[in-house]
Amino acid sequence: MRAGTGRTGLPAGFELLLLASLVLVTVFLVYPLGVAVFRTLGEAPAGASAIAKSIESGALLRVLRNTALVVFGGAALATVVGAVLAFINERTDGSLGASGELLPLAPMIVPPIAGVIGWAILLDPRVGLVNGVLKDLLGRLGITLDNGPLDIYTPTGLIFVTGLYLVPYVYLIVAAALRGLDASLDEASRVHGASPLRTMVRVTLPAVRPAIAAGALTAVIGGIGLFSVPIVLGTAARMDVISVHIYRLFEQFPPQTATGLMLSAAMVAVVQFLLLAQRWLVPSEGHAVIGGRGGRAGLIRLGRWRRPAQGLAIGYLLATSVLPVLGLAIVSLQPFWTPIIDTKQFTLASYTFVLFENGPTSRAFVTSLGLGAATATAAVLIAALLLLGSRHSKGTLAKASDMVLTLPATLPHTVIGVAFLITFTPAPFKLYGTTTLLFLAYLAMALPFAARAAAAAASGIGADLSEASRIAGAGRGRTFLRILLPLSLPGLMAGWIIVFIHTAGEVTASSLLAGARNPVIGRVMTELWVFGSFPQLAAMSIVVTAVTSTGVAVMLYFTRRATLRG
Amino acid sequence: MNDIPSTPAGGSRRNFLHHAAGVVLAPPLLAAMPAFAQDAGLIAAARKEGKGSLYAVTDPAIIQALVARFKEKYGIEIEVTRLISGALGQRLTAEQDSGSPVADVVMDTDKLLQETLAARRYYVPITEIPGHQTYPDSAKTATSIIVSHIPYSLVWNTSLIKETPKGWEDLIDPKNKGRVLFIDPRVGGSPALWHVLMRETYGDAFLRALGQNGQAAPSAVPGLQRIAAGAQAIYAPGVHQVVVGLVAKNAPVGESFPQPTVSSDTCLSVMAKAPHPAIARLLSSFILSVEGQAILNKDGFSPIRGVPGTMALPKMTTPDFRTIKDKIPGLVSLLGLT
Repeated sequence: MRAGTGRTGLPAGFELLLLASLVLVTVFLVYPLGVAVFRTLGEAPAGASAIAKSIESGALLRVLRNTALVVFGGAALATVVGAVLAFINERTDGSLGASGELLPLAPMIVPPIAGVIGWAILLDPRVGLVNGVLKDLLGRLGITLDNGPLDIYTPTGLIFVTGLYLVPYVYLIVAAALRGLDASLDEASRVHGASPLRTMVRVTLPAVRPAIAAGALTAVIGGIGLFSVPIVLGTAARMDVISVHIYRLFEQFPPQTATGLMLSAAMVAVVQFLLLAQRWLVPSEGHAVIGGRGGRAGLIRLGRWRRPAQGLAIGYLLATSVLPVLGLAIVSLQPFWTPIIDTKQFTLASYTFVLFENGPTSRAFVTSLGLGAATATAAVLIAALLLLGSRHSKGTLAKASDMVLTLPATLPHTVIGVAFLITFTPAPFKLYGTTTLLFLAYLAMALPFAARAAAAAASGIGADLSEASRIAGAGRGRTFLRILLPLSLPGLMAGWIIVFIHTAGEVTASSLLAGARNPVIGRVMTELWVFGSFPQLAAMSIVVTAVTSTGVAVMLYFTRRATLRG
Repeated sequence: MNDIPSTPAGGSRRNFLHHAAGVVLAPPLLAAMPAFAQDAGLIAAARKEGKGSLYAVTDPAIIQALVARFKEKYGIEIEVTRLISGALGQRLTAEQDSGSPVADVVMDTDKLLQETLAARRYYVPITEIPGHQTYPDSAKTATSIIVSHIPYSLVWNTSLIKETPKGWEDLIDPKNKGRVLFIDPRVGGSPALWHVLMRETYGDAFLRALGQNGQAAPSAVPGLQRIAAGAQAIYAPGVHQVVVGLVAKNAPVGESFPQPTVSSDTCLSVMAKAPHPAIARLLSSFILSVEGQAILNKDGFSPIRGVPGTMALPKMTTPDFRTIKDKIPGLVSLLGLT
């Protein structure tokens, strides 16, 4: 019997459900883009000539070169750091436990723009707090510096911060795969006398190769779309990247929609190419999977490497979460940003302003967190249904699902915002100004992230379990619900958290779709950045960080409990 | 040149105002102004309409103070949406296309946007706004009224630069190399007008030297805060409203208005399809009134005379805003930003 068909050879009920869902999702994603393209066809020659002019002047090529440098540099850094941290935390006695699980997410939990400003507060060459400490230390060694030694406003600074922002993409996916991995391989390596480092490099990480590749690819995709880091740092570093370039095309008036859409189409092509490359480079067979037999064994003992490993993890956590949050916390209490920390000048005025005086803040919290949870749940369920459900069909359905779900991956959020705005504003939809429109746009943006997580989770589940389920008489739908879904829960939760945090703090599409009636956190933060002050932005970001990290901690706690019970 | 000396740390706001050239010291004009905002019929109609909606590009603290006073006075709440010009244009277009308008009143600095939307008949003629008569012709078009002048300034950190800079030339002075911050002309709206003015006044060499001397800022507000923190020493083109806010908090910043300079004017328009037409008119007339102007332009520049706490305008030049977009790639290239 061919996979993907019922006992009669015809598509079974569950397959029909999958097919219908896929068609629906395709229409949902393609229709708005089609409308946007159709509407701007008249401007197309202008767009083409603008691009031609841009290529001729070399400006566009420089933008593409900068983008490649930042994205691949950042993703490479993130892949190494994310995979090593996941290994330490999941497989060794150097694990930091629950806090180790929460804190690698910190660069994402601090909302976009504010987090980058936190870094600028630390690493500004003249007044950065970290630079101040380093200058003091070097001064004691007889080395006097006027500026630096670190400078965030450089290409290296931009790549570094981009990398840190991409670590969670890799970490969450690899950690989920490691958690589900049969430990007997590690044990075998250890029994044969391999060192922990050798075990990590030769055995454990290769066993989760698809997850690492999925993580790296997600990091690249996330990097191309990343906007907050290059908008804050790229201007001063003279590194114009594609997301900011396209943002500017839409942000000016009248917007250069045709040029923006053409460049976006090129980006979609790049991502599809990357996905194909991934399938070619990392075949889905030949790696470790969750077996129905065996179980978790003990953690790898690091011996004398335990402390350094813990130091590495703690150092990373300090560098990425504690320090920027501390920087922001200090500035949030100052009347204006100054490197002179005078506690007598500290004031809660910025907190009072953002919480009580700036009208939309409290509503923004309710809207954003609600939308974050709703979008994450919907996106993960859709991705799980399509990718896990079609996992063993190996046919066009699985491939088509993957392609469709990752379609919006590199569409800049501005483009998605514009497409949804012009599609769903006129009759019959008339969704302009509604929270439904925000939800739909967020869902479109969230699907690729959910899809990556679901794909990674699916690749870790062996065929034997679902086969056993089917032999025992369960249908595809029942196998999906009772076997595949529960087993992939940790991986799916990773996706849920990424989507939740992303959606709750989304900035660019929200600037078009959210308004006074349905304010969202990202919009309020952007307003404070463009029109307010650093202390206000810092105060808002401290509050947002507290709220989202509590939410994520609660989710992680329940997932872990569910996983352990399972 | 209209110099505003810095306020040293610990200096009072009053000192700052006394130093500020041309401050109008609260003449008792409020009672003498025409009572256009007091029209009982309009107020009653506005109250029946519920909540109003204002789209604005103004400092949140200032705009909150403005709508808070409006609510106190008339009992009518205003929801504020802050947008930069690109997003504002997209939204207003979407609102009109869908036949579901939200905005009642719009305050924006992008003249090209205003002209385009006026041609599409999005705005009512200003003759429908009570109080428009008190504004000079130079502050009006058929559908917009300038409610704030924001002349671009030179801003510096007084801890890093002790001597008041002489003018725009200080930005390209080799002694300031690596200490200059300037706004990226690609940000949209009116900042690029300043770059064009510099290019037309001092030639291409000025922008080239500026690019080599300094760093670009992605937006005015974050840029000025870096100056206040001492991350960079000198900045242009400064936005007076933001500088006033920093000086009020004793930040070590100084500001001057070298000649020639150009103004980023905030213009007010009433939407033709405003869902709350009476509120739109009442709110606009309040913003045009001396009381509204005193809140909106506190320590700043009003287009009408006799507003307490505002300053006399420096001399300003107006480059052609219609051609600005075509000039931006040239500016970016001279500044060496890509």
